[in-house]
Amino acid sequence: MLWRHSRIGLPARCSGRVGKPRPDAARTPTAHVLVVVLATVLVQGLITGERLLCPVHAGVGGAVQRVSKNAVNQRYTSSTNFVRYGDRTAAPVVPGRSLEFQINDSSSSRSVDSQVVTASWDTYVDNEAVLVNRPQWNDSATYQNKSGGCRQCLPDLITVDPQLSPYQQTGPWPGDEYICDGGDYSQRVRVRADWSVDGLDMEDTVAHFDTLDGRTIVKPTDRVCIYAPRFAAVRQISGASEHKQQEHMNEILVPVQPQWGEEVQTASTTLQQAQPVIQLGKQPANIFRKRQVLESFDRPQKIGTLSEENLAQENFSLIRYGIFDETERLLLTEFSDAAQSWSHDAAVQVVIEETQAIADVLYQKPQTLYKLDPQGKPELCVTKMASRKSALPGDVIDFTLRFDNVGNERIGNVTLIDNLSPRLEYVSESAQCSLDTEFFTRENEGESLILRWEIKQPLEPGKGGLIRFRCKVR
Amino acid sequence: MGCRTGKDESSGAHPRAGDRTDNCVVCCWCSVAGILLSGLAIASAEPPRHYPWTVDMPPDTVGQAQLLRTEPISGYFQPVQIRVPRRARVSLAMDGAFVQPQKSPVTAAMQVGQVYRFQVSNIPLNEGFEVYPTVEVINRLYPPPGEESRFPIPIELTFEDLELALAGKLVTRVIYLEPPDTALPRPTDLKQQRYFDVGARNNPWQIADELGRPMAILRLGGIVPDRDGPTDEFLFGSPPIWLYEMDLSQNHYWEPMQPSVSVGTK
Repeated sequence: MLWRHSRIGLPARCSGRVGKPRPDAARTPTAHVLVVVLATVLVQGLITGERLLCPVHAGVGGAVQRVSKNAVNQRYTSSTNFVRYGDRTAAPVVPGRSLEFQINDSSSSRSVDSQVVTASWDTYVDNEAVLVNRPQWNDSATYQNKSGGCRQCLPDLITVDPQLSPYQQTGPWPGDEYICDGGDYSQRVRVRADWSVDGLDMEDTVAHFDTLDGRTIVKPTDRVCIYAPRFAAVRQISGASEHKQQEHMNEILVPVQPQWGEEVQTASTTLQQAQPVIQLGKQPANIFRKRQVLESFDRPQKIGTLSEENLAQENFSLIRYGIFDETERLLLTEFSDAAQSWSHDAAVQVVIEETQAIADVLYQKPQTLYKLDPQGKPELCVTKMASRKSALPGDVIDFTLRFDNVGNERIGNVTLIDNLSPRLEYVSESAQCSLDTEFFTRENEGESLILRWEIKQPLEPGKGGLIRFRCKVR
Repeated sequence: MGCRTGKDESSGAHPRAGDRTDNCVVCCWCSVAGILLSGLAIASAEPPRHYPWTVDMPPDTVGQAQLLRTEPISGYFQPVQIRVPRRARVSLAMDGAFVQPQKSPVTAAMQVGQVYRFQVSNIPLNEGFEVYPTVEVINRLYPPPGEESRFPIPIELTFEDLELALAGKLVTRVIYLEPPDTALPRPTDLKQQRYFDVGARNNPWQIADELGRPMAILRLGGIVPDRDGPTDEFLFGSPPIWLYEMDLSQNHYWEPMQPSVSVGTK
């Protein structure tokens, strides 16, 4: 199945339903009072727009089953669904069903049915296949209670970078003159067990990936805003009677005009052009910093799979090599209002047993303790940039997506999704990716497209890629 | 549904105390639900908005009212681009007279709140006739610094508009800025501005305000200047204007088009 997202862009409301009361308890006056009070709170929540109470999601976990290498070409039956880490050719998970899985070596040509999850040797770690028990949402009622619009109900397996929340950005002003694309606004994006995505609003751009411990993490990109106002008109045609009235109005108006003109002249002496107001949208790049992984220095200097060399907006160390340079901070901010500093050159890099060490910062002591993070720290940095800051209808804009695994463990099923604005028209055959990927498009509710890239291979720590595509401004 | 306390009509037996309690509970539930839903309906309903201005009012009424707002629009010169059909010419008024006719498009910076008269001549199939529309700029844009002239407010006069004006009709266009999230997708090769026709009983200003942000009002009728030339009143005092140099490389024309959507009844 090429397109796995059967529910993209379908928002679901948080119903606020917290479960059915027991029949016996429902007949007691106390239960009625509680239910009435609860209903009152819920409806008042709807009226006032406040968040609703939602149950805590249960069943979220990341049980990992490791299969010995000797188990090759043997079939196993699992009590729960299992998803193999890494390989994209696996059959989709069937929620709520037990699932057979089988480990094939690279020389095996045995065919398996669609319900059997297969794995290749590439996914082995230390002679073991890592099979991750993927959390699933197969309870529709519970899922509705956890749906978008009710951010308190987000399950634990979805994490969104709080630095990129909508209220952290001032944004350009006024907003009706800009086309914005990127980030995760309005409803938050969530990924279900079958990799379908909910809460993908118009203009959202996110990436999601799977971790070794079975979590699915969603990372929104920067929000790129392009100044591109578009106009329309409302026309009214009046008949002869209105024409006479218009002549009459002019005769009345003329003597009044000089008085009003004086008022305007007084006001016109205001020379303030109010240009500084629009500078409010500029956000400093030093929002937060994170350690830079040493593996990033080994990245290739040239991206050979793209048809063109680096574009104008990509002539940064961040885009070309995935290495942030402090001297480029200002220009990066210009090209992307939400560009953030995610590494720091001056920080000490410590490696213990070929693994990046995490600094345990204690403010009470002068020294810094470095230690290995046994839990791993999956992290994906996604940066979105546009070739233009302003555009007219008909102009073509090049968009660039740079993604890097800045964590210390391998991540898989890296998927990038861009829900284009109705004002942007994707130029066909313009999507490129420096990594081996599958690209899909799908029409969204704004008669534009949802672009989706699925990176086939797992992304090692320190590795990254580049995605380009073009859009025409409508 | 009421709160019954008598016999059960269907079975003929006396209702149990628990049934009466259930019915009363249902009654209470209905009452609570009704109160809450009514409150919800009141809260969710958008408050009525009063539109004191109409485009039938004297020109510059809406613009002058806009100057009273808190946004810094007073005294700002907003670039405006006037587009007419091919071969037609546009003459803007400066210092009490019309300047040399120019090819379309003509770009000029106009003050917000002022009314500008201009002349359209050499109309195709109607050579020798002129119309004298007015433009009232009622709002401004906030483009990136240095790109003000690249994003003017387009004022388009179609061939149909000019013919209607020559026939004695009054054509009013309220140009508004489309919100990007609700903008209608359309082919990018269409160079003409999208517009909607509304009936004579509708208020174009109100409809434009509901659809987006009104930016300018174009009025195109059959009024002509006196034989002795345009008076100061005819030109609305010739408010200050700033003409941009012509860029013939961007010269293009727009064919008359049919309205995309018709709103209201004429």
